[in-house]
Amino acid sequence: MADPPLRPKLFHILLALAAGERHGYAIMQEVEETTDGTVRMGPGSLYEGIQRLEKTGLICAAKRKPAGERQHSQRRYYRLTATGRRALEAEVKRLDRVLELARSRLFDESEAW
Amino acid sequence: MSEAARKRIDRLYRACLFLYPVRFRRRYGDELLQAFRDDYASGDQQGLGSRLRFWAAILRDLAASVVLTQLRELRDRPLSNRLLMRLGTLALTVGFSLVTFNAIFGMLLRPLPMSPAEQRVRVWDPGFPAPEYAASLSHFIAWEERTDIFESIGAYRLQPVDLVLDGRLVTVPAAQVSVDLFDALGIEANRGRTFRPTDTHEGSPKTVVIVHDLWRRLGSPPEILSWELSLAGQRHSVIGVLPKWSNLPGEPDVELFVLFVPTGGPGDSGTVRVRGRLHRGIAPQEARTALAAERFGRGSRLH
Repeated sequence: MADPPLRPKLFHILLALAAGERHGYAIMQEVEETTDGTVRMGPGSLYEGIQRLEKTGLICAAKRKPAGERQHSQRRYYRLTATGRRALEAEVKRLDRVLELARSRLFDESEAW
Repeated sequence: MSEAARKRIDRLYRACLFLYPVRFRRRYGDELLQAFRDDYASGDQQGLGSRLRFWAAILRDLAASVVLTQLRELRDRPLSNRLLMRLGTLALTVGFSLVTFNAIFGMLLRPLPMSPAEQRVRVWDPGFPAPEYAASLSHFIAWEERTDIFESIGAYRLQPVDLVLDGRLVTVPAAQVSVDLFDALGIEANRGRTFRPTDTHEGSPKTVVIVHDLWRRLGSPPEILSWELSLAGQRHSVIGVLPKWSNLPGEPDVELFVLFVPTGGPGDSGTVRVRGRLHRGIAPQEARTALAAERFGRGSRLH
């Protein structure tokens, strides 16, 4: 049986991390920017999602902070795990199929007009 | 914004964190607080309406995430602990409601001492999209001239510097910033001042602005504004100390800011990140259209 669809919030967190390691606020910003502000997560929702993704092994905390970030800073960086990348890819394929179906039906109906 | 106001807001949000399950709070509490600070610092907090919207969103976010994390905790913990947890959550929720009620009335009805911060935008060259969001210096110089769009606009680039601290040479996270960056971000010094146009004049003494954390690492000297720091063998006067949370939004922590003056000359290349503040009455979409109409090479993007 196929995996259930990812919740949009979790999908966007994974998508933000697909571009590289990010700390919490950077993920919030990235999601807001890439969705033109239509998806906006507050700090609580973000970390609720991060907890869920960590528990399911889709993301994990990066061992080291990037150069320029103080090691004692409160910001923890997260990264996609291999499982997380596979889950993201599977979700993208699922969305792709949905889009394909939607396009075919919409275009078919338009042509019928 | 004053340090006292920041501390008040910090305490309020920290108190709210007690609504989360203990395990969640221990794991994510500090990060959550930092993300809240970043969000608060980068948001528009000018005017009662903006503050109301911000706090309404924060409370909604808190309520939703507390319920979800508590439910998850209930599912994960043994049955014998459930009653205790429910009672604890109920007590915390009552306490939270009281704290929130008092805080909202305290903060929203009493104006905060904040610099104008609305309509802050990030501007970048589409050739350097996410996650870089960078721009060439020539574009930045062109945008600086759009005083019809931007009330203030500034650029920065992260550039660590070496400093002698406690007799040891250490690398300090630092940034080179243009003269109006702090104005564009609405960041004010709580000691001394930030950069002024006179600092850019030929022959002016070299200056730096430091963040509270570096001031502490220097031994918290009360006479810091008479100090000079040696950067790359050149003496720089410390002209201001910024409050603890003076981060560049979304960037790693920076402890020292050095002034740079982009000239656009042949030797002045490289990229910068740009933050601006739009004039009141100019919507981001309007500014985006105006900038897109310009012929800045590959164009410009804004949000």
